[in-house]
Amino acid sequence: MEALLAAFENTADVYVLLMMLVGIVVGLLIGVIPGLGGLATLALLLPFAYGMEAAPALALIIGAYSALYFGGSISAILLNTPGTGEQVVTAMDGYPMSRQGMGARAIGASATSTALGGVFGACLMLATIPFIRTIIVYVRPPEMFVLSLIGVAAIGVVSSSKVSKGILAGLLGLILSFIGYDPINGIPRYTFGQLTLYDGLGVTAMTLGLFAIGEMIFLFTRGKAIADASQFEMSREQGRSVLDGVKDTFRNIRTVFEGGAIGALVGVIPGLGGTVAMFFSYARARQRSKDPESFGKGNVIGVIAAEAAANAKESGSFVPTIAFGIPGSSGMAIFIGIFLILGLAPGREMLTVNLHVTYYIAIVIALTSVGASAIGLILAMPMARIAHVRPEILAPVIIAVSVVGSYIRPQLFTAVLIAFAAGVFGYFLKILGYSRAGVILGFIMGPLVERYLFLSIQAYGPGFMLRPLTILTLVLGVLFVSGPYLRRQFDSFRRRLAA
Amino acid sequence: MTSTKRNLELFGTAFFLAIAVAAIVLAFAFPPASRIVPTAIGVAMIVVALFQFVTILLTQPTANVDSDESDEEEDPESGPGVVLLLNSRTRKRTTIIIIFSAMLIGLIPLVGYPLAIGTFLLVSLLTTDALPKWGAVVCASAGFTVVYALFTLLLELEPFTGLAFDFY
Repeated sequence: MEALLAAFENTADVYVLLMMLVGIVVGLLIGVIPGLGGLATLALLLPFAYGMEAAPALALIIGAYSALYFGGSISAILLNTPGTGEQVVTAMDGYPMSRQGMGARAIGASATSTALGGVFGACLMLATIPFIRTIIVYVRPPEMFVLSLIGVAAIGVVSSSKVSKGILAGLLGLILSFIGYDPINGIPRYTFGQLTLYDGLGVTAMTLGLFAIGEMIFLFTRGKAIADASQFEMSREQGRSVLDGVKDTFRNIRTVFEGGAIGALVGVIPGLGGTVAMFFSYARARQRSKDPESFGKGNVIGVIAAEAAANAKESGSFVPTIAFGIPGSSGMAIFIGIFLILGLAPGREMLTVNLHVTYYIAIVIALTSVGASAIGLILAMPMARIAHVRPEILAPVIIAVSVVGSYIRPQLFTAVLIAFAAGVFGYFLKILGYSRAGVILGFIMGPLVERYLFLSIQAYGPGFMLRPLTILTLVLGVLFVSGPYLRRQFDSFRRRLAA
Repeated sequence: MTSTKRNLELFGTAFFLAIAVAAIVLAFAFPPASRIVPTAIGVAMIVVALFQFVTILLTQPTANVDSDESDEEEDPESGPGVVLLLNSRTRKRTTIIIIFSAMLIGLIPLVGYPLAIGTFLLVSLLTTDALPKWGAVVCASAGFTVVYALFTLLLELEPFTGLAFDFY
């Protein structure tokens, strides 16, 4: 209870509220631009975490992350160009509504259901904390070692085109993390005598390079406008009844709660992704509907179901990230880096001495979900114009921010070079279908993996892997990571049998 | 998969293999306690990359054309299909032989990289057209590294496991 009160106290600070507002505006603006996405946004905001206390830094970054979804929904509904890629489900009914002159109504429904879904997800997150606290007591370094490795593999597997590519991405991240001082023995490794590499490649430079610069190279090589301007001319003729959309949402409150629950549940399972959550929720709403044929042709319930799941999913993703250091989504991989920069280690501490921070995160998610929807409703139409920005204008701005961001912390030019090298590398990883999130998570988790291994050997000897709980964690983890592959094999076997 | 895409995938995987091999080779310069984790991760990376490399290598590429013909499935019962199947089997067998032979050579004490890779380059040049030459070298060096690194790792783990393992 004390932790909850402390969390509310932190939230009530004017500076924190201001940072939330800034984060929301930044998130909405970036979210509406198709192609940039949540990972690039988190990467761009990462350097700001250095100069701030934990509370305002988290308010800024979570604010932006929550607002991204609604920003993406605006371009999905008005332009049929999902801002973050995941809003493809929203566009299925949102864009047809827009074509029928009900764009404002769709945006109203989207804003309200996103906000309610976010609040619902945050409440579920708060409710699960006491349950997880009872489990975390039994989790020791050997289990954390196994969980760290599984987390790296899981995020890579689910965000790559092939299982082997995902695992390779995670392992590469681990190898890159070994550059610099060995955290246990203090021996410099893979530095080639370069003093500037003694502290490692740096999370900021690597994240900015892989995501922001890499994404810009990708956009730039496409060489065309992100969205078609003619679509917007049409969307300006939309109806103006935002309030109708708000009323629609409250009339279908059961869909919102179902979507929120589905989103939060899918979010807890590492790597299933926002699109899956939104599709599940959409499918459930369609299944319950008396008029399923109208879905995909401009049914407002389709928009409500998809949007309610979107933000709730992120609250769910925070649960395994905070409790076990296993990221629930690609964005959470970067969040682990942000936590570490802020001096917060995911795991037991976040549920004991830093419990107030965990509660604070849930509160910020709820507040920023509501704030993003309110501000987004006011700015929706002007913001949709931003989607037409050409990569020639966007890329130099993002690259300039990335250069400054990578330089800030170590104050070394080497960091800028590392960011650019990581950018080129990130571009190739993207076109070859390897998970950049897997690489960055491996990079962030590398020192932790080594530390947990060292602690496990020190405490339990070389037989630490034979602890019953460690074996159970390992078996469950391997099943989880290989699940998609095994399912594909099983399906193909069944098809062959049927044939 | 078109042959361009296949070559790109092969190049990507070979790059990952090269990084893993380099990580293991460079790790020999570190003291034992600092070497264990990078070596273990490097070995894991080689195993996964090798699996992926062989999978891609055994995939029969389609022609680089934009027409719909490239998407059509080959009929395994037809003449060319049988030839392709035979080729695939030969390549599979050759790849497996090369990897396992490389692993065996890795077991021989004091065999260095140049000798191991040179041997396989010679063998692959003389005996078979079933694999691209550089594919054979990649498979050989990766297979050799896995065994070499694993045994070295067992040596390094002696202080922790108490198992005296002086194979080399």
